[in-house]
Amino acid sequence: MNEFMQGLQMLMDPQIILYIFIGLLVGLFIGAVPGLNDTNILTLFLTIVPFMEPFPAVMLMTSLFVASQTGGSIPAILVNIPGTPSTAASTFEGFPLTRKGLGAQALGCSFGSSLLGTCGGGILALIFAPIIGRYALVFGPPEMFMLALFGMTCVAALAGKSVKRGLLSAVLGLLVGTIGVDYFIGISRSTFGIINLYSGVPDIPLLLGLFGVGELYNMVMRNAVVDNKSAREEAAKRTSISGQLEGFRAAFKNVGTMVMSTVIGFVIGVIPGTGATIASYTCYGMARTKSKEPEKFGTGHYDGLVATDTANNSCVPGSIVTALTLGIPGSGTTVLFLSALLMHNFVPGPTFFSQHLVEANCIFIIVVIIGIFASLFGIFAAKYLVKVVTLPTYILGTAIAEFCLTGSFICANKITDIYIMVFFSLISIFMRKFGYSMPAFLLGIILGPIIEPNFWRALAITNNNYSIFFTRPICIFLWILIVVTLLVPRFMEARQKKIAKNSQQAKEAEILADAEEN
Amino acid sequence: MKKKADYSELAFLGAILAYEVYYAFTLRGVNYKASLWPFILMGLTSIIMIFVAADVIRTAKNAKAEETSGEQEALPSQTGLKAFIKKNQKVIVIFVALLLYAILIDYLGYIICNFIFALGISYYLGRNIKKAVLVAIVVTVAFWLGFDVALGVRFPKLYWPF
Repeated sequence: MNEFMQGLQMLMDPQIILYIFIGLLVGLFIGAVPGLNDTNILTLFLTIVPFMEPFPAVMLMTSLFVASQTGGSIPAILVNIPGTPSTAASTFEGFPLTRKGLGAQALGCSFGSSLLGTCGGGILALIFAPIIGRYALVFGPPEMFMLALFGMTCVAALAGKSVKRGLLSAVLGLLVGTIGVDYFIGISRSTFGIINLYSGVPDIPLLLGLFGVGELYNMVMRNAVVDNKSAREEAAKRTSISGQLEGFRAAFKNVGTMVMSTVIGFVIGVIPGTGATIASYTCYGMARTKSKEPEKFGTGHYDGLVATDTANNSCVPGSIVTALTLGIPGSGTTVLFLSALLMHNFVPGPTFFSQHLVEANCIFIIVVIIGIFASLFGIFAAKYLVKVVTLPTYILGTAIAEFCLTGSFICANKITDIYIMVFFSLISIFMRKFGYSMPAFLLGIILGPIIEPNFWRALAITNNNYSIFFTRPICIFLWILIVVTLLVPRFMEARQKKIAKNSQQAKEAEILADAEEN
Repeated sequence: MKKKADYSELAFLGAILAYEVYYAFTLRGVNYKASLWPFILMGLTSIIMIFVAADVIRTAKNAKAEETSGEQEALPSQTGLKAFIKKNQKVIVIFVALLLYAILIDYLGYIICNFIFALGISYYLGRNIKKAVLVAIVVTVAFWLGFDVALGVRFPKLYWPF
């Protein structure tokens, strides 16, 4: 408790508050720009960090890291372009809400979910960090394989109207995920001789092509973002704060989903090599499984948006826990975060919490503070942000196209990435036309590189003993979750059909009885 | 709902099949650890595609039966390449513009390419040259300031061989 109070005291320094504020604003802005993400901005700030004092440098990097997750949902909701790869799932419910003229409400809901996700994750990290870090290493290749397999059960939630086409999209996504140099033998698979594809399809051009340019095509055909004139007029009217607050309150009506997504997102964040994308997809699938209105998912349902945005924000404190307690960076962003710490002699590892307990507490307090201020700032900024959807097509379309082109180029400074983006935009045209699920396709691409190598690694460490997938405790737990996720919706559906049939029969019997009496 | 007989999805499935044949061909003789998972996925894809293709053919046959039964009004003919291009003209133009951008950026440089692209697209979508020039200037300057100046990203410059 003493260290906690000391940490709070250190944060009251005006210089620290200034750096936190800078990190908040820059992180929100960068997260909101498609093509830029937390990795870009942390790389840039690494050039400044060595010249700063240790404590302010760490606070600045933490603020940037956390705020960029909140900002990434903004373009995902308003124009169907994920600001960061981890916010791709926010497009499933956020953008349909915008098309109905409820963009302000969707943003408010997103900020409310981000608030609880970040604060909840930060509090969980404060309480459990010293303990959880130890158990992160329990997740070996068999557990990672099972976790990815569990993630694939979300396909049922993402398949859309046609289950066959949804399944085909997911399997195609898994196939596209195999593109690149193989993990064990080192041969290149389906790279067409393009060096850019050797490490797999780059995720930013892929996302910008599928969602960004794909949505641009849709928009120019419709000549608007929002579907019809009355919804556009409604969107233009509801730019006052009341729209955002309505969405904010709607988020808190789904407290069960919020709490579930916070915990699951945090736990997935703790596991190295997973990330917020998997967390948001998994929570979306689970929210749909437990929902009483699963048929409304994909049409603009607050519950789905709450699940994705809470999970991708609570994942960040989880990944920070593993980075600090074990010194294992779970993603490119945490590598940069750890680099900033190492530059100032904060050595992450098992002794971090004993040697730097005050600083560790400060990091997680910052997470909570940024969560609150990023969401509040977003609520007030949303009034202006939502006007983007009412811009004429010739302005918005040009801006979106430029963002997609520039964003594709800057991730690796290669023109080949622009070609990759254009190619996937072509794929998205046909997928949308014929009703194939792009979220399921994206899920396959994300999980494919986790499923295959971890499967072979698990067999390699057990001398080709397949029983490892059925005997490890976490694997057994994940098998149970997979069975529950697949069977519960069928059971609920069958039960509802039976109830409907019984009530129909009861009504018919009543009518017959009335007729006989008369 | 009035539906036309539409077999175009079969062409999309055919393209996927062609890609699978190419992929399978490149994996001939490769160690099973590198090829097993892709072959499993290709097998699954092929099986699911059969069901999807059957679905497409069934739907198209039902639509054709409705058209020829005389119960509904015959739809005006909208088949053929010309009709397809007319219907999707905007998408085709933007797609070609994006490709041209990728081809020309190495020669014209980022700023000129951005300006020409923004001018072309905003004029095509807005049909007002003054507004298009204004949008092109604002977008080009904003991107140059934001990415090149502020973030220090290195973009291709105008190719000048002398």
